[in-house]
This record gives sequence, structure tokens and C-alpha cells, in this order.
Amino acid sequence: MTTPKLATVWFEGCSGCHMSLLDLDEALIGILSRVELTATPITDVKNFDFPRVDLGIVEGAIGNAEHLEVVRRLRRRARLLMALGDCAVFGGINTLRNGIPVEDVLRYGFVETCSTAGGRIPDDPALPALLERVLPINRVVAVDIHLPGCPPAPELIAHALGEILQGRLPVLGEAMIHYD
Amino acid sequence: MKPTPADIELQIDGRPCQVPEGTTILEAARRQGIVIPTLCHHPALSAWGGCRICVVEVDQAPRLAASCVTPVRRGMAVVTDNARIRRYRRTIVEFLLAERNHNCMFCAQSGDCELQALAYALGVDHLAVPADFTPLATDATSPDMILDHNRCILCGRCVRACQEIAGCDVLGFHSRGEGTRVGFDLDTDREASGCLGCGVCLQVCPTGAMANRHRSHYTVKGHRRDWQVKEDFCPLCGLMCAIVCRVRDDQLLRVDGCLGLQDPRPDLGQLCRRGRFEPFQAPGPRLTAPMTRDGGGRWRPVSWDQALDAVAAGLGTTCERHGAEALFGLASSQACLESLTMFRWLMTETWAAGTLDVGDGDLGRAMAAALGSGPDRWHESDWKALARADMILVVGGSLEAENPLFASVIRRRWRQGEMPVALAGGPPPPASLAFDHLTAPGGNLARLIQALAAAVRGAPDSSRELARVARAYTTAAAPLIIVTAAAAGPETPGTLEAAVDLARLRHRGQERRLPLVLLKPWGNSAGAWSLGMAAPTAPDPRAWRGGIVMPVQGEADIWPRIAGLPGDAFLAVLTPWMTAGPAALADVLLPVPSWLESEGSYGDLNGIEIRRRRPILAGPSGVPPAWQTLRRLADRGGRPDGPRTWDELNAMALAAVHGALQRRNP
Ligand code: SF4
Ligand code: SF4
Ligand code: SF4
Ligand code: FES
Repeated sequence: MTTPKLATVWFEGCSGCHMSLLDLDEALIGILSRVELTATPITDVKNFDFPRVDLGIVEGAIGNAEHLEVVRRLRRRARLLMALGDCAVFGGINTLRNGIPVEDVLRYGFVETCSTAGGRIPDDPALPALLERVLPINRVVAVDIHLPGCPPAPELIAHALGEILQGRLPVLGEAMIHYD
Repeated sequence: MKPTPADIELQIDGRPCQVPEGTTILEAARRQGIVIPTLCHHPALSAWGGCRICVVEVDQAPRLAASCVTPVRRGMAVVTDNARIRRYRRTIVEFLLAERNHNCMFCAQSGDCELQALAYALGVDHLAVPADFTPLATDATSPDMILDHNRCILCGRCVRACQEIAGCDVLGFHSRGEGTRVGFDLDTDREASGCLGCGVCLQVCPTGAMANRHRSHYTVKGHRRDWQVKEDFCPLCGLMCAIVCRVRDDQLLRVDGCLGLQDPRPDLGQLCRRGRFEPFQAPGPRLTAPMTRDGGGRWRPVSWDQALDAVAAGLGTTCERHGAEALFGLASSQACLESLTMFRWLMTETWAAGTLDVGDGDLGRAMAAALGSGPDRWHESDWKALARADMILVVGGSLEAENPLFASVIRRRWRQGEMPVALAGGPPPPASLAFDHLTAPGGNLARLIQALAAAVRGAPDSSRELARVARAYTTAAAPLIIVTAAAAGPETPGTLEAAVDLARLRHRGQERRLPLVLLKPWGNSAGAWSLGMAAPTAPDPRAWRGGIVMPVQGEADIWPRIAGLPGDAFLAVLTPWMTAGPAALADVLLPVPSWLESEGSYGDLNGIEIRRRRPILAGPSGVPPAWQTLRRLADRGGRPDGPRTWDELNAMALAAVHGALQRRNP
């Protein structure tokens, strides 16, 4: 059997879910020895042109045009897609801006905060446009595995990865589900 | 056990059982120890059947039935759990989560939320239905509670609790369909509404929609497993409501009532705003070390020995210069009987002080004067008569301000059509309460009550209103007059006497108990008066030259009474907090535990039922109970005899109170 390939991305999130992944400590070494990590923000190599992978892990919600494009690409290349953490699963704290017009969000963020003087809304054409609403991953692409939690506990991640490596889809019992 | 004829036999999850006719399936299952999840159902409230979480399968029918509102039927076969039922329940929970903004990671209720717990139990690891995300308003106008519509599942528990328990009926549903919201009065803010702030809505809310503003975030309150739960009673007003306190790391997190309590108490286990939220309010910075003033008059912490010596020296010097007559001791009627007993021993035995009084001594004296003394003395009614009264007359003041629980019970019973209510003087009732409201001519409340008594006696020239109230009072089987403390005060002289005269018109037989209750300002007022803590005549602070005061609730409980104290008088203050009064006037400050941190006995509103409460919190270290500090002051004053242990004080206090009651009711 070939070594399973893994890719992780983060979108609108705080990177806490990836920190929780790193929090697996020595268990991480075991897992990493059994998989090939092809792309991940942890290594700071921004390779969004994923190869075909067995498992794509997504942290964060979909908030701008680039997120949308990247998650769709990852979905096409990944056999299984996992939404990791509340932002990916439900939208999370980012959805607080849903219901506020995008222009108001930008103006508040870049011009009106009290720590800003002479602020200006960035308009570089290379910057991805914000979506009207922040969405959880499963509103954009099909998701196979959901691990809620803010962040999800390392034990939960270890359990889920273990199951997947055994060829099973993880089922979360009552004690494993957490939204906070 | 043989089933009584009215018992119904049925099967729940294959188990045969018998329950009385009229029982719901939910109740029948719970009696069998079978758990059916619920959301809109609450054992202390009427059934509503709105959320459908409690659905069960009955006789394999395709339509599931809401078990909380479906009564049992003979021969019924009920299934409470299977894949289909679970799928239904899970879908309901997903819809509830999707309908509004449930962001548990920053919700005050997380970890203590019935909706969340249910979602976990049903394995909701994501939402299959799209969430709505429309942001909704939050009402944070109350200092104690937040209503966050983003978390509301429209279960209606708050609405029913406000109506059925608080008797307030300010909460209701507004609009319809997607736009439905719970709201206050005709849809205004909580503070602008007639909400009494009792928080029963918060207690019954299953989600974070009604959130406590005090220490409820989970970073503060931590995890359920870290909580200690302590049950006791609230000592703040003499009604001794049962409280359930949640504590973590010696920090109070939440105070709840004991909903579902029944007779003889009239309150259904409710709490008032004070009992639920006052424990979170500190009137000033906490005092944790004794303090005296330095040469420049600034406060500095000193050792206990130095502080106690300073008090003994201050009182000793006063005594030498002005005589013991000029010494005074003034304690709060919020203090427990044991502290008061030690306080009295210190002031009278050690120092032979000219004055010993409690903060509300004036009211105690007024009451003693109005009810008379000796064998011919009249007695107040048991306050629990509120549960059975069929006509209420409130004399003066604002019941809402003085005793919100009384206000609540009266509103509930009036709304249920159980009794007419009349207010004599005081502010008019809110528009939704069609109480009779009599206004005092020229503000003379005593005259109003006298006129009412005349109308009861059949005076022909009474106004229509007066005659109507008089008739209600005369025809009621068990009327009750509630005299507010404000009405019994010096602003409306003669009112208490007039009320006693009016009460005597409905007095029956040989009994010397009148259908009248006087509200008292503090939790142990009646207990303290029974203990004999009220001075026989009103003392004059201008004659005082040195003394000790012992406030408990900041300073509201006694500070007004020392206005007029000469500026050079020596003053020692035993207090949990550094508040403005002591900071300005005192010479020595001795820290004591707050009531939450102390043990002690209290008398109820009538001063008859005596109950002992335990500390809810440990409190700061190095701050001994008030009685111990008072004991050491007695030692310093050269009197090592007298009570030395808590048990001795307890026995002394109870003997004194019982003695007083015996003398009153031989
Ligand atoms: S109310 Fe309950 S389910 Fe909703 S956000 Fe708060 S904790 Fe979560
Ligand atoms: S505020 Fe709470 S109790 Fe009231 S309807 Fe909403 S969820 Fe139910
Ligand atoms: S009514 Fe009195 S005893 Fe009851 S909660 Fe309120 S203050 Fe406490
Ligand atoms: S609990 Fe039965 S319908 Fe809500």
C-alpha cells in the first residue's frame, strides 16, 4: 500500500485548529510517519496547487473568492475532505459579519477602528474580494468528515486520523462533540 | 402495589406500567426512569408542546406524538427511542441551531446549555440545513441580565415563568413566523418595561438567550465538574427563600431559586432581584486587613493587635472623658443573631454603653408602640398568610421596591383571579394591573386609612372607591393588610396605628393575631428586635462621643442613623467593605466576612421562625467572623467572661428570642 497523502489549508480561522493538530505532540510523529504531508501552512510553503491526496483538511470558513477557489480545487483533488473546527464546520466567529454589508465591514476594519489614522480600504486587484457572507465548508463543497470544536481537542483529531488511516469514517460519540 | 381504579396500564419501551389517569407520557416515562429529552417543557411550568423534541412513537403510528402534552391511554404501547425518533429529534435540533446564531464559543451559556447538550447527545457534528446568519438584536439594558435573540429558540419557558411564577406577565411573543421574538410589554427594552428583574426567566431559559451578566462566561465559570453546588436560604429580607448557589474557586457564579416549591410558602420557589443578583454586588473595595489612620489621617493597614488596642483605647478614653453614657453601639439588622448577641454583650457588659441600637430601631419601636405591650399586645399575621389571603390592602410605599417577592406573589394571585388588591397611598400600579388605588388626601396617609376604617364601619359619606375597597375588605374571608416600612416611618405619622385599628376590625375571637404584616427593611429585622436590640427610646447621635458600628450591606443599613455624630467622636467600624462613610468618619476599620462568607441564625419576617445558614464562600483569609473580633474586643475591655464559643452564642441568642416570644405569647 502506498503512503496516504495529506494536504491541509486554512481559510478564515485563527490557526488554532492547526495548533491543536500540533498539540498532538509525540502522537503527531507517529501519524506523520504514516502519511505524506504534501501541502500545509504549517511548513509555510504555500502550495495551493495540490497533488491528488487521500485526505484534505480544512481549517476556517469560506470568506473570500480565493478561499472558494482553493477549497473547490482541494475538493476535486482529495478523496476525503475534513472540515476541522467550528469555523470550517459552522462558519464560527467569522459569521458575525454576515448581515453587515461588505463595504461597511471593510470601512470599519480599515478606516474607522479607533487605532487607525488615515486608513484606506486596500484596492490592489491582486487581493481576493470578500464574499457577501462567510460560509461553512459544507455550503460550498461536499464534506466527508466534520470535527467541530473551537478548537477541536487534539484527542479528537488523533481519534479521527486514526480511524481514517484504518480505512473507516470516524463517528463522533456524545463525549467527543464540542462546540467550544 | 394494587393499582387504584383510576390507574391506567400501558407499556413504555416494552415495560408494563401503571400511572394515574391524566399523566402525560413524559411523566409516566420519567417515573420508570426512562429519559425523554425535552426543551420547551419545564417541570415547574405548564406544558406547552411547542418544540417537539420529546416526540415518541405510540402504537407504531406514523405520526410521532409530543410526550409532554400527550396523556396516557389504556393499553398504549410507547417507544421512546429508535432510529426514526432520533432522526426527528436531530433534525429539530439542527433547525433550531440553523435558525439563529448559535456561536457557542462565545456564548455565556456554553457548557451549561440544554440545546447544546442535546445537540451533543444526538451527534450533531455539523448542520445539514443552511444556517440563516441574520444578526438579531441584543437587549443589554438590565444591569443583571442580557436577552440575546440570537440564541433564543422560542421555547416560551421564560414567557410562562414570567406569567405563572413571577406573576409579572411582561414577557410575551411578538410578531409571527420567522420574525417571532420574545419581548417585554408591547415590545420595549427590559429596563423600560414593567419587568421586576427577578430573573426567573433567566433561571428557566434552556439556552444562552437569557444570560446572567455576572460571571457567566465559561472562561470565568469553567467547567461543570469544577462547580460546587450549595443550598441554603437567602437572608436578605426575612422571607428566607431557598437558594441554590454555584461556586467555583471560592467565587460565586450563580444563584438560583428552588422552583417547584409548594405550600406553605406562597412563592413557588422563586427569588426576587435582590436574592438572585445582590450577592454579586460589592458596595466598595474589599477590606482584608485592619486599618487605622496615620498622623496625616491616611488609612494604613495594621496588625489585629494594634487595631484592637486602638479600639479599646478609643472607647476607654471616651468613657473616661464623657462617661459610659456617651458610648454607643449601632449594629445592622442584617447581621445574624450570634453576631448581634456578642455585639450586645460587648457594648452592655464590657462597656456599659449608654446606647445600643440597630439601624432600623425606629421602625422596631414604632411597631412595638402600635401593637402594644404586655399580655394585651397584638400580633402580626404570619407572612405566609399571603398564600391564602383573599384580599390584599397595601399601605403606602412601593411593594416592588420594598419587597419584590411580595409584589410578585400578589400580582400572580391577582392575575389568577384569586383576590382583589387595593393600594392605599404609594405609587399607582402599572396600567396592566387594575388594582384599586386610593390616594391619600394631602398626602396624609393616616387620614386615608382612618377614612377606610370609617367606611368599613359603615360611614355613609365615604367615596365610591373607598366604599368599594371597604366592602372587599369586609367581605373577604381572609384579608391581609401589608404595611410598607416607608408607610410606618416618620414621614407619615400615625399610619401604622391607623392600620392596626383597621386590622382590628377584622380580628376574630380571642386570638390576638391581626390580619396585618409589616414589611421590614433588613433580613433579620424582626429577629434583632426579638433579641431586644432596638433601644427602648430613640437615641440622639448628637450625645454620642465614641462607639462601634457594624454595618453588613455596605452602609445603607445604618449609616443614615449616625448623621449628627460629633466630628471628634471616636468611631470603630466592623465592615466587609471600605465605603465612603467609614472612609470619611471612622478611626479604626476592622474587616469582617460578608454575609455570603458567614454562618449565622436569622429570624423570618415575623421573627418567629429561626433558621441557621452556613457560609457559601470561604472569604479572604485572615478575616475572622465578626463575633470573634467582638469577643476579642471584650477581652481587650477587661471582660474575659461571657460567651466564648459560637455554640454558646447560638444558645444565648435562641434563648433570648424564645424568651421574648414567650413573653409575647404566653
Ligand atoms: S445558546 Fe447554547 S447552543 Fe446556542 S450558542 Fe449558546 S451554548 Fe451554543
Ligand atoms: S429566551 Fe430562553 S426561555 Fe425564552 S423563549 Fe428564548 S430560549 Fe426559551
Ligand atoms: S424575597 Fe427576600 S429572601 Fe427571597 S430572594 Fe428576595 S431578598 Fe431573598
Ligand atoms: S418538550 Fe415536549 S414539545 Fe417541547
